[in-house]
Amino acid sequence: MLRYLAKRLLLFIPMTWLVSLLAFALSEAAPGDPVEQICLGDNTGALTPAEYLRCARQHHFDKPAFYFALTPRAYPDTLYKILPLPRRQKVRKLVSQTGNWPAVQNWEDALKEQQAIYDSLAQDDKVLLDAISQSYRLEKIEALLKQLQQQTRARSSDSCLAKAQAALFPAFRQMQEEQNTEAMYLPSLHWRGFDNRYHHWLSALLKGDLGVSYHDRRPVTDKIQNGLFWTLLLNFISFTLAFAIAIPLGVRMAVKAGSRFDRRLSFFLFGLYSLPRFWIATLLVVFLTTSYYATWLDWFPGPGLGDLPASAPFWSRFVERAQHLILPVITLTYPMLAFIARQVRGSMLEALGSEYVLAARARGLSERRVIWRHAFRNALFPLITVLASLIPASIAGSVVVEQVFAIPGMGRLMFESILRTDWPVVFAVLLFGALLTMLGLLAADLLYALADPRVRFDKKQRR
Amino acid sequence: MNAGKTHSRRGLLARLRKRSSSRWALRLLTWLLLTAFLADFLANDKPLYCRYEGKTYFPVLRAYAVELGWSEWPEDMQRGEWKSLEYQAVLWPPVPYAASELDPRNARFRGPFDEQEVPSLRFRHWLGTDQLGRDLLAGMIRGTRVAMLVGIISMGLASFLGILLGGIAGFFGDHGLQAGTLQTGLLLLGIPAGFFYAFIARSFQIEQALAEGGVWRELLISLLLLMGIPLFFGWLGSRLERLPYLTKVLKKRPLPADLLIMRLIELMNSIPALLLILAVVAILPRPSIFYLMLIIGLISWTGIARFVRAELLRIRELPYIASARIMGFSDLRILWKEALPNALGPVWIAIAFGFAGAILAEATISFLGIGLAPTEVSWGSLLQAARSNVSAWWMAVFPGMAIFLTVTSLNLLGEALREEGSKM
Repeated sequence: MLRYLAKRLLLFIPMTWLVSLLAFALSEAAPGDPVEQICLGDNTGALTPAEYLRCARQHHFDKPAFYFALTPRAYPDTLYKILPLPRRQKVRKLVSQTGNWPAVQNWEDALKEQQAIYDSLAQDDKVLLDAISQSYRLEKIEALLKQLQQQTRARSSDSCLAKAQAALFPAFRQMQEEQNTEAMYLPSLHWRGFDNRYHHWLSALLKGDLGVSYHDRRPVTDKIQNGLFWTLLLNFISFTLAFAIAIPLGVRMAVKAGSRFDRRLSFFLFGLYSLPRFWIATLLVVFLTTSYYATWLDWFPGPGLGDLPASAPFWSRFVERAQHLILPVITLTYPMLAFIARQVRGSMLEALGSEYVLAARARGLSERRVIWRHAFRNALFPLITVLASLIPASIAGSVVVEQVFAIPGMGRLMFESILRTDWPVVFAVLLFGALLTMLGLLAADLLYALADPRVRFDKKQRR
Repeated sequence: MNAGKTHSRRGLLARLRKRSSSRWALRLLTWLLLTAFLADFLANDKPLYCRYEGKTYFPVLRAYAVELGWSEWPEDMQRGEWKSLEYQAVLWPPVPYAASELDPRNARFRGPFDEQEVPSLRFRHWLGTDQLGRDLLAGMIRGTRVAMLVGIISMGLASFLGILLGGIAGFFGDHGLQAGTLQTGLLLLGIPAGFFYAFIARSFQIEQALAEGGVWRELLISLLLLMGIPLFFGWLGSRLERLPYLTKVLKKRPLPADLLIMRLIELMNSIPALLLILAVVAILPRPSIFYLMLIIGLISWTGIARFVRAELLRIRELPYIASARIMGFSDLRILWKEALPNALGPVWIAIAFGFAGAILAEATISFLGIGLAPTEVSWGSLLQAARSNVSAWWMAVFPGMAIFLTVTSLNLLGEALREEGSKM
């Protein structure tokens, strides 16, 4: 048993690590400029270049992403140091097309020189120059340069623009003509050391720091804690309810297997299990929370948690909250209930058909005692695994239910963060959900081993 | 247990038809598939047939030709205002509206029983309209196609991955695959090499395709590179090891295929699928239903793999496999021709439940309002409209009913297949 526990725990660590790697990789692939998002928050406007650099350094954006990097030989070794981030992306794309880093560097230098004359230019020349320095497709740059040529000709007196054109053209020609795309297909492996973004992210994570939200700059852990309360409360109530109703139902169905009661209830539960949660949630909101269809149908308050101020008496706030939670709890409970009841019925049927139940009956024990003491106890073991397998489904259910009923839990937090492109929160919730699922599976396996003395994990079960 | 008996699909269908519940389920699914296939002929803003200015047209058919570039619209029809043309004779589809067609006269949620401003009963919106006056029935017909496509494509991908990986894990186990040091080394070298050429060296092409379209070709090339390069390296290793000197030096070691694949399955199962789909869909620059299908397929192969693995663990111990070995058949031939065909029976159970799961997942995501391009319609996105307007009961009832019936009949089929399987 101990060896099994140790083995499971040892496996748990690499699995969590892999999930963290996945979350980090996704957050790296997310679009947008994280530096702007972190340091600007929701303020409109732009960061000054100095502010941007400070912010990027503070959040390790001038460091490599990972311990090592497998890059095409064409990429410069210092690509990760280029700031701001959009420029880094642009340079990477230019190198990808040309395979010639020195030429791209030349082009970038030529662009930088134009900053000196930038202020003296006319408005539409500024726009054109910005467009040139931001585009990364060679074809597009060529077209823009042609436009520049025309504008230069139109303003024969403006020598600034002519100078800019004279500097930019040869640099572009070099990029276009001295292409070396083969270098894109030669791999090179770089060791980046421990001072990288993933390392910083992971060590902060291990200290319990998940970073700050891009949206309101609050720590992600705070936001998750707030959401966790409602999600756990909802799920705790529905798990309890589901088991409390499903177990007697399932046992009774198994005892009366084949009867009309059993057949009808089986059919009903099957249908209940297949009812999509989001549909039922919508129907409940549409028909039971408004007086639009009939005044007597307005049974429940609308979405949200109620709007009584915190100063209201505790009891009335409690009642209001409870009223708002009835529909979400129903929506979360019914598929679980149907699923568990069917599982209980199945495992009870198996137990009732076994020889020890026959023996118990033969000893003349009361039917009640046979069912609950002998059959049910053995039928319980498979239910432990059911409990764990319900966790991913209930996480998915929470997203839908919290979204429809506007409950500020983890699911709604995740969804709103997606809409706001608030990636730290999204990936933290993803990581958290995976952790919860894995813990559930682990706990179920251990409980199973504890509860059923016949299960021995130490022995080699593999052939 | 008789493993020699093949579970032919014909026999399976015949046994399923004996139950009235699966008969109904099969019937409904057939109708849904037909609807999906004929969606353009059932609901369209163009007439099926018309005579216009003395000429005969079949606009619905012609639309395909125009899309393929084989033909062009005559001038009057180019504007797409089909209902304002004056025809000498015309045959409209059963639902004379396209899913994305706006009907401004019946905008702002007209119900099935409300008064509608339509020229005749033929043009009535039988299931009502949404905010912009789009016909709900037309949307649901289009949604049927989307739902069936989601199920078929994602389950096709999942079956491919599941049968491949489950087959390797179950048939070879931890000791069946022997590889020499050189071969293993080259294979391990081939994996990062494949990844490099598939995704790193081609990152620009893929990014470009993601932003501008044409991503399927790029992804296919990348996938071929990702799988082909390691396989080539492995093959090279196995050839090299046959060199006379190397055969003596290098030892063969078992490759723990089962262990690795089972760990992968555990990892996949420990990430809540919906959260993962949401996170991945959210970072894609241009949403499309096809990405959803791809992601669902990439996530849901584990169930199929488990079934195949369990079946093969049983089958590989059977006498007929041993006799095939004695006859000197290669491992691959035994797996492909002898073992796998007998292991596929239970896969249908997983596919039936997986189909339902895929439709539900897609509907959930589009119900939440992400993952679809603005022009795409699915049952989930139709249902979403009911959330913003409680008075439109038809938007809540009908699309949800379609999802419910489809999912139920697939679940019924899965359940029936499971019971049939356990009887044998």
